[in-house]
Amino acid sequence: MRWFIINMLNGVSYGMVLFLIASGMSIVLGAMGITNLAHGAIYMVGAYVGWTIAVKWGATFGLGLLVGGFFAGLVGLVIERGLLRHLYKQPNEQVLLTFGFVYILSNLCLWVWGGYSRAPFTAGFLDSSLEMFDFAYPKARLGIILIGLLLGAGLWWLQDKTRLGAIVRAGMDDKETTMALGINLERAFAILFFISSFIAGATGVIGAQLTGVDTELGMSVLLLGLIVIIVGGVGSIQGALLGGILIGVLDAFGRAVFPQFAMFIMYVTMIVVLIFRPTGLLGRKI
Amino acid sequence: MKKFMTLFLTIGILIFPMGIGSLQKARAAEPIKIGTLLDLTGPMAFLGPLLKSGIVKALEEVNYTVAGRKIELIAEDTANDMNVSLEKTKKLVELDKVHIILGPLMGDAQMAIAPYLADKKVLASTFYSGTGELHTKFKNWLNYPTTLVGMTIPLGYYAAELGYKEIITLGGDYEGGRGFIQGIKLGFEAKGGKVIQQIWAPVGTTDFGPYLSMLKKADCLAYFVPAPPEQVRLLKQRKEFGIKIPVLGTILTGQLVDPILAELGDIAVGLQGQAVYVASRKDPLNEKWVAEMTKQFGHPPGDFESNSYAITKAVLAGLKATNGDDSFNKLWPAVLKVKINTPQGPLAFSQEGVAVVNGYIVEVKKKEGKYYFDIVKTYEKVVDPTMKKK
Repeated sequence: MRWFIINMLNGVSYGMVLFLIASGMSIVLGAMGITNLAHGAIYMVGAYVGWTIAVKWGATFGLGLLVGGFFAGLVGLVIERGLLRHLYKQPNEQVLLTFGFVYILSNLCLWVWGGYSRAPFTAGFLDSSLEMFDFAYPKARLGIILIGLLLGAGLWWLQDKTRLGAIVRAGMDDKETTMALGINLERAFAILFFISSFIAGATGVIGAQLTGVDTELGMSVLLLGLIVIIVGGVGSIQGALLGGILIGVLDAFGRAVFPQFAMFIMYVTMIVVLIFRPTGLLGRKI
Repeated sequence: MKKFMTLFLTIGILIFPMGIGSLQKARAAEPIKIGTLLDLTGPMAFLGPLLKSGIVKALEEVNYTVAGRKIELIAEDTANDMNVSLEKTKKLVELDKVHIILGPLMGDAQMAIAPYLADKKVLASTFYSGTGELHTKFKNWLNYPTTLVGMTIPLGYYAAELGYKEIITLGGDYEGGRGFIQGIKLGFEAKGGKVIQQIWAPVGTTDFGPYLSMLKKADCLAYFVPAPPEQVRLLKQRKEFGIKIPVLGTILTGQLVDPILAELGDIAVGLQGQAVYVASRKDPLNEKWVAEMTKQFGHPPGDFESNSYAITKAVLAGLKATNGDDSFNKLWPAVLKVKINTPQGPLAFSQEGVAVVNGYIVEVKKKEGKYYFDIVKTYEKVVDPTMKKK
């Protein structure tokens, strides 16, 4: 029982981080049709900025999370407004451009923060364990689950209950008609891209509680995000949540039961979903 | 005609030695070219300058000269890519005409260039260990500080000497990781211990929670993970999950460098494990070297600077023995006979080219707010027992 609960919580907490990574990418891909491969690098930038605020300068974890997210949002906005908006409906060019930013941002981080990795960090009140039944469980991981649920609820509310969300959903269905109705879709997309990058950066700080921060995050996080999007479905917050939790739980139990196959679990899951449901578990039908 | 031929031969016999002498003088005037393959960009970019500083220091100490010949160091960036490593290796050998190559660091790059270098008869060296194939199959590699097994076998001995009877190992699931864990297992079992569980984690593991949840009851967990971020995560997550089983780590001084140790903080205090080089080692040569390196490069040296410095000193000693002849057939046997003292400790080589050095067990301590490594045990002249069987 103890083993089951620990691994379930491990899986859900890890899955929450995956969900947050994927949700931002999924919204941008679904709404704007942009494959933003720089999403992982923006996550990394947010994590480094959050570390600087919360650890190096000794401010609170919450402030690090907000500033990390905001700074990442600005980086995303600069990329979108400066370059990506000229490449709508040019997927190959988008891929090349955003992949190039992975290298640019990774090397910028290397230049600014150096090559040494940063240890995982969290808020002071989360830096201990909670006694549960006959074992101790890290409070930080429970915090990740809670933050993930709150952010997920916020994103769902944004997508389904706000004017911006309605505009984005309309734009996804029929961009020309939406624009013909006088809606400034470009501005909506810019705001959306900022929000997506903000979430990426904030998730970088949240994820840093588990992984710490290093210059390889850009690429590793990108891969995870793509897998969860494929499993959960493009353009769906609920899909990203389901995909993230599913991958997280399967990964945790898979490592615990079949450690020698740990490397393959995510990919096998992705392949199975692609075979039986190519649009993802909750993706929009093409 | 006969007189002409006699005159011709006489003049030829007189001129020939002068010609050879001129060629030798011309060759002696040519610098000895030492190539080095470093990761100056890419994910390991922070290690390239450290390794280079050790090489540069060793060359500066001899004023870039050995046996009357100048030394030219040619550094190439491999960008942590084995294809680039091969390209740069070919450039060093074919364009720059080097006969000695130091590096690369990573095992995949070493294996990518090994067949080519063996074919071209170029003396090569690792910077931080290498697979056994380098010196059993190719026979032109210096393997420093020793093989994968050789590096960690002292940790196995130490675990048994601590009185542990049963241990668990956790290792990175790739050839290097399996080699290091094999060393721990061999050493521990040689002293009567038993490894009751072996866990393998993929390279780049972010969450060790699942592995920590499956630990059996044992006296100790001995681990090797391939990168500093993973070691930091493992130690932090062990603390978060309230895991009380003692741990013995590997490559402690190489991975938990000062900035990382400072961030780990009190979690690391009391951590014991294997180390290649210990900056705090009480030895006049080491203390002098540490002071000079700190002054010159702005930070205390660690494993990487020590390793590259030691291997360069060994090559220089070999070149001195050959009177500056850097051809492989002369230099290789000369380097194998080298016996020198380095900041790491005494250095010699086996007939296969594997370095024979001391192995250290260290413990993290804290003094006046600063964390540092202290040597708790030294194992002298460590030899990989599996090499004897080959």
